[in-house]
Amino acid sequence: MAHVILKDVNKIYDNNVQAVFDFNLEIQDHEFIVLVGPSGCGKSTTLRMIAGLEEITSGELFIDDKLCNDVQPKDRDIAMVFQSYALYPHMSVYDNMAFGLKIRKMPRLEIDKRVHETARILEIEQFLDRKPKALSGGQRQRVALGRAIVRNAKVFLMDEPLSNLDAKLRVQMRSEIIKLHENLHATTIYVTHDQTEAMTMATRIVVMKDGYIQQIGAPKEIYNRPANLFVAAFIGSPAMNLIDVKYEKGQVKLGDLSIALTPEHKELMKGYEGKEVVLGIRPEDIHMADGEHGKLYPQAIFGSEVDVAELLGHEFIIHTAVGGNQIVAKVPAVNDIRIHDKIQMVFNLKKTHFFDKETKKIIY
Amino acid sequence: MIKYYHFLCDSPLNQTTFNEVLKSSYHGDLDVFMLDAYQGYCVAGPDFVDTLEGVLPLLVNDLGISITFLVSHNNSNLSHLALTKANKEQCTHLSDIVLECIVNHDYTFVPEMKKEFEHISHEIMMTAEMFVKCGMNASLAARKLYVHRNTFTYRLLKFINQTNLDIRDYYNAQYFTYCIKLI
Repeated sequence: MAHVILKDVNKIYDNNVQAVFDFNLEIQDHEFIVLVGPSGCGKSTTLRMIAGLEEITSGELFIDDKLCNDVQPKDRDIAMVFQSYALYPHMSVYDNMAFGLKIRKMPRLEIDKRVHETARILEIEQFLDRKPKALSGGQRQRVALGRAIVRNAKVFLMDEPLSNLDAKLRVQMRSEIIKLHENLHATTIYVTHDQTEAMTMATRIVVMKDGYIQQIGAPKEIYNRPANLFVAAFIGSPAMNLIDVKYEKGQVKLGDLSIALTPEHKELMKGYEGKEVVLGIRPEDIHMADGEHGKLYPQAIFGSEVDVAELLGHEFIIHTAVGGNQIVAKVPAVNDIRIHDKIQMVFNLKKTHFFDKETKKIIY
Repeated sequence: MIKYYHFLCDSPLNQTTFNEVLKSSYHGDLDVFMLDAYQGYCVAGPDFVDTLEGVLPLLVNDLGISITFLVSHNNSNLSHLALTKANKEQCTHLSDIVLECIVNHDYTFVPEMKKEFEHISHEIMMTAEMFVKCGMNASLAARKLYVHRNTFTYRLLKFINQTNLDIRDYYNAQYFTYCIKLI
């Protein structure tokens, strides 16, 4: 397993389009790193630079302290799993998994041992004689994973391996990949555009946008303390509510609502007197006012009318408005809530964030 | 109809392994020719492109290479030039590269394109042009040329034999359409 370092890595294509800017990341042995971001943010390009399939324009890549910029992909000891779960169509599952080892001139007995061991881990032993066309999508993806695992590579690179699967299978395969990682302790770099995959699978997440790293951190850290507006809106479902407010004399004005901040928060908001800032609050941090949060933060209670109430079984997703701004709240389905109901809600001020409107960065 | 699948790799290819991968993945006749350690071409039917698109990620993974394929109707300088402009680890058609060049105002390939049709008679060129203009409808093209359908077919086949460009194929017809406009 391996320790990977990317130092000031940039990627500029021949047409002068820069895909990756100043990428710095140190991946520890056994980590499960997820690169997440919207399409075109540079995450796949970064993965391909690590694999050696794209040239690094500037910067350095180290795998186990060895500079690998000019090392051929086949000599980097990495294994890739693709979105398309590519398999040789005319080979059996066994031959598909064995092929990579065979061309590396591994002894037949060793190949046989590794293939059977990997098939056992992936629970595909009964499919070893089958051709890919006789397998389901999930089974094919497991074989694709198996092709990478048999290599015992230092680093596993996965490029959106679950994107082609249906939603239910995706959830199942996600947990299987997590279990595999626990068993194999492999250093894994995983690319996805799905923030749910990132949150559930990663030991650390790298959020990217337009070729730049926005934030690196553990899932909980990224969720609870997003570094900027982009991370705040991208991570979390439903997305964080982001509302333009004005900060004046220790209070934020949101339409007719004036919320007095706590002394600690006022201290952090120094320098923003009279300025517009962005208030960020997650849907699950907006509560019904008749609960404990109404007593804790009476200054943050507001009345509104329900525009849409989506019942998810154990909770409601409520679409409503405050101060002319549309917001989404997530509340337990204790009472029945219907469209046009007049309700009293409250912001949990302890979980409220503020962002600088110009720099987009978090204030607190 | 056969097609030429030109390939270019960023590192030396193990020819034996490469051949084994391609031949075991394709059910039809396939010949692989190496021009040097990095490039060459395959000759196979038009359906080989489907196999290639499935096998490309495997080649990348198993051989640890970055390889580019270009599908063309011949083994010409134009095809080699287009290969250098094709997207890495994809199988691109010659017509798509020509279109991209046109969009980017890159006409360096036009002289090579002209050479393909220099030796074709006016009558045969007109036959081929009318065929694509009529949406590859041979009956309509024959009527517009005021010739018998059999005469039209004879001339079209002559065009195909002389150029190796079977314009009854969609991608070849697309390529020829660009040629008509540019040469």
